[in-house]
Amino acid sequence: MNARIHMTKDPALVLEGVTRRFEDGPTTVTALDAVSLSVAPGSMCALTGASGSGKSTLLHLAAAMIAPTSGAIRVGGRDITGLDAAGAAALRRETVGIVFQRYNLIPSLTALENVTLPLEYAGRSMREARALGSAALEQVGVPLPHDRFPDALSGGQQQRVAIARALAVPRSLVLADEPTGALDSATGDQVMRLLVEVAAAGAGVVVVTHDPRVASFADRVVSLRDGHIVSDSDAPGAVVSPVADVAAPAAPVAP
Amino acid sequence: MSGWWVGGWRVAARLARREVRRHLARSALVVVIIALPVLAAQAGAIAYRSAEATNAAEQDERATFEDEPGFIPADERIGYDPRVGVPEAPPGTERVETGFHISDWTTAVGGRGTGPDDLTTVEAVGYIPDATRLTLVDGDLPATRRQAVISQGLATDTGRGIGDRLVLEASRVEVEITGIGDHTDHVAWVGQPAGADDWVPDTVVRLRATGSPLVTAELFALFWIASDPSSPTAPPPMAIDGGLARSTRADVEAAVIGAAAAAMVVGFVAVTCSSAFAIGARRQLRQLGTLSAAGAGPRDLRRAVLLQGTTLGLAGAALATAIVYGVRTFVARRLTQTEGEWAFFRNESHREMIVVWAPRWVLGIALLGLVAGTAAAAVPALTASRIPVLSALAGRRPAARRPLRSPVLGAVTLAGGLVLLSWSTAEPAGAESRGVYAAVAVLLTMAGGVALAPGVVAGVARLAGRAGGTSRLAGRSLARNGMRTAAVVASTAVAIALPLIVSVYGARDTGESHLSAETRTQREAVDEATGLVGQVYVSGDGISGTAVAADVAVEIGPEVVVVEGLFFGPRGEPGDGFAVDPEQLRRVAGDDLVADALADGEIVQLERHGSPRASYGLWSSEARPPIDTTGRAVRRVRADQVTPLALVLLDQADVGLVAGPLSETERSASTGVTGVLRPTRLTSDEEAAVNALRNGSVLPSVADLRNLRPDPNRGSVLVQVASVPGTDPSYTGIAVLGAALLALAVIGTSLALAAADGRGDDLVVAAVGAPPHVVRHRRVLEAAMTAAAAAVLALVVGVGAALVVVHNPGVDQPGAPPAFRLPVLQLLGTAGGIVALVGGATWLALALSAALRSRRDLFLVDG
Repeated sequence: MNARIHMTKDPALVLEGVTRRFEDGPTTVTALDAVSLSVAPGSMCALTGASGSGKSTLLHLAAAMIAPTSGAIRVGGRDITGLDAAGAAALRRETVGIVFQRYNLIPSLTALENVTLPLEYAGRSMREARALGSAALEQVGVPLPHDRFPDALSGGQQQRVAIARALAVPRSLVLADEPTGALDSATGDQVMRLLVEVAAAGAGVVVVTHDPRVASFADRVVSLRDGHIVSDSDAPGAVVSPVADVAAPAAPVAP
Repeated sequence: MSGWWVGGWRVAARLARREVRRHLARSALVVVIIALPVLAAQAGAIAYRSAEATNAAEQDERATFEDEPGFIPADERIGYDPRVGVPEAPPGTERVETGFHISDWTTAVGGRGTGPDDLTTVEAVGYIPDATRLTLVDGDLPATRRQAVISQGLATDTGRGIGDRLVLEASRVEVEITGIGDHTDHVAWVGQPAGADDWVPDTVVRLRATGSPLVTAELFALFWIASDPSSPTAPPPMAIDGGLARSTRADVEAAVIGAAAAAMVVGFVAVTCSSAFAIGARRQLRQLGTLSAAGAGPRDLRRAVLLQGTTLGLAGAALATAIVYGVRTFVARRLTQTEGEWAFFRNESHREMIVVWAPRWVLGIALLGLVAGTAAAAVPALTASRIPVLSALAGRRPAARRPLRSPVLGAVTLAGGLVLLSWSTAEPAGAESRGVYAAVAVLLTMAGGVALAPGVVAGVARLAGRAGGTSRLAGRSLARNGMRTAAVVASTAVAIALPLIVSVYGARDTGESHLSAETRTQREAVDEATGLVGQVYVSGDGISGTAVAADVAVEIGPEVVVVEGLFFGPRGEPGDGFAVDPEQLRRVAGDDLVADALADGEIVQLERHGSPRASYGLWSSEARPPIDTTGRAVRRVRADQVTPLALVLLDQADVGLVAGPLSETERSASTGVTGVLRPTRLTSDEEAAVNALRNGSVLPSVADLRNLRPDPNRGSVLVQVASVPGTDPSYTGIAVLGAALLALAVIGTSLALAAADGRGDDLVVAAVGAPPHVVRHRRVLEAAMTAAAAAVLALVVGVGAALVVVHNPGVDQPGAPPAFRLPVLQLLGTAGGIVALVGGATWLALALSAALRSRRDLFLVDG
């Protein structure tokens, strides 16, 4: 893949003692508890765990969609801990790409227009944005014409469009939240191979999944439970059971 | 940075267009809601400006003198000398009367000419006042604007004389009195310098000839006509019968109405459509979350929602403008005004109504619509930009914050608005400056009403909750989306308030008409008592509307009255004159001319406006001419004053009598025998008619009374009636219909959009076994409750504001006219009627929809 990757020597993502608590009426839920993690550029890290383990929270923190209660977060060497709404949007516009389980394409925009969104918000001209967007769509394998609306595309194609949107702007970090959750296994494999290519091109890729098959595509598997990292394995192809506390082979918990 | 800015707007515009197209039905409904008030305001503006133009042209044509021998031809305008500013009478004119048009000050301020050469008539012409005939009795003519000749009447009433200073009533200008004129009305002629530089001829000046040698061109130059109240050098206007004050008050009211209309257009659209945009923004939550995830900042999200409002506002304004332009073009050549009645045909004998385009007004109002649409989306846009990204992606609204104590805030704001409204519409001086405050007051009042809406909704919901069953469901449903329902209630209240305000103003106008009719009659009765008859009454067959006063003439048969006096006519014929001591007459009538002209045996006929009114004479017993004693004296009194006539026999046996009210006769007679004449018993018809007049009800059979014949053996009653026109129901009817349609549109939109949200509730209700009609009844009750809440708000805010303006003191009368009665039943009936209409229409729409659905299902089953 001729990936549009923002190459950097800094880790793509660093979490240092990050805690996130949610107020739920009178109770307080600790979604993440003093978690520390580092994702290197050019690697894919899979986050696994049961529902409520904190994996999606970790992803949202990395995308600056929520702020940590304590701790520090750096993306591409830049501290994003105290970003305001405008700063967070700029981060997602320029540095971090996000792929969602349900694609989250704008139904009233064509595939190309969905892809060019971050480019236009970044100030690119229409011609330039369309050119870059078309290129990104071709890279992810979305066939022409690119001016079809999302409801005219298959699930796999929509997810490819979403990935193309994430890659339209050079990124140092790509986050994918259950990217194959709404796809059949064959299509899901295709999407995962695409993400592997993105990682191979130099971006840091973090994939949240509860599917061990998806996790098997990653270089590294980090398991969470009750807001803690319970295992961290960078063994490629290791099968991690979502109910197991530790993936095989076992590795010490990263500080 | 600039690229980022352009890109953001580009995406927002694209999303707005696509969103509008995707939800075409909703978009069309919002466009209609925006277009309706804009269209109504534009049509009202065109009608107002067209009426002004038509009236001005009509008055201009009407303002001519008849072409009679010795008079200046009617269509000949007097040559105007711009150096002197004095119109010259053509040579050879035998009779010269001065006359000039006093403009209707309502329009003069805005429609006068621009310079000495511009003799454009003002847009409306008032009456030719009686002040034209100046005969100087004492002193000198005024030479400057700060000098004046005042009438005898004014001198008597104010106790001023030559050398004194006087403040003119309407203009508040202090003048020095240089002379006394013979006019009995309250008039002041203010001087004008001979130089023409300050002459602002905003009126058409015409001369009519009369025989007085005192009325010359130079004298006419001293008739000062005010023109430009804003000019520092222009003289203030002359006080003439309160016409100025009345018009100035009309200016203030026009400013208030204009400001209120503009605020209503914007406020109505903004409040109504905000709920639609809020619902639309909720639908787009996930989309907005995606935008945010893709890098859109809060500003980009606001733009995305705001531009939808702007797009629909533009469409609504364009639609309204196109419709009003088309209608105006269609009717322009087809509308003919016929004596105040309009007919859709071209009639060469009647004036064709001037239908103007008024582009500034129309486009200005269209701009308001655009602003309103944008304003409607402002709050939803702000809210949407503040929703956390994750919540938006999940399609969840964050929990609503506890609302401020808006009812308290609303009450305070409303009270402040009403106080400011009262101040800005009172004592109409400087109408232009007060207009701004009036506009602010209207906005505050509306804002207060909007803030009160949540409290009203909560109250209605609480009441409904006690009812149980479907009512409780409906009430809780409204309360659950309290802010959205409050927005709908507020905008519907604006619509319902319109016919209520029209009703209050109609009652005010009726009260004023009653007041003027009674005042006129009363004054004439006093004039009658003093022997100066000068008014013409509406005869019985000219009655329309409600009779509010009457003048009863009692014919006295000669056998009833035994007086030591003689009734005589001008040439010894039976007539309506009577002899009187001139000294007594002078004290009563204050008319020196009569006393000076009387000589022994001479009969003088007093004229007023060129018509013989009364005759007076004096003779000694030796020179008494043979007079027919069957003449009668006609005396007119008010219907509720049909009391015994008081006659006074003066102590001079050979002098006749003067008849009048007891108070007047006591004043005029010093000694003598006082006799009392009582009319004989009235017939039942006559008594019923008099009672009907006293009660202010319509005369049942005036025609009978016209055929009364004088019975020498009894006094009979001849009734002449002063009536006031009835209230034209068409304006109120149109306002009610318009309000009902607007209310239906607003509430229907809200219910239709909310139905999608509430489908889950409907399923639950069905699942627990509720019969199918429950869902329909719930929607009907929601609509009726919403309309009821809006009606309550409209009654409190709309009627309250109207009462504040109506009760403000004007120059003519303090506060509301005495005959003003708040039309409570009409107000409650209007509000209740609209509520019933909304509920009924909703039921009908849902019933039809259900019937169509079941029919479609039938077709599916069949094929």
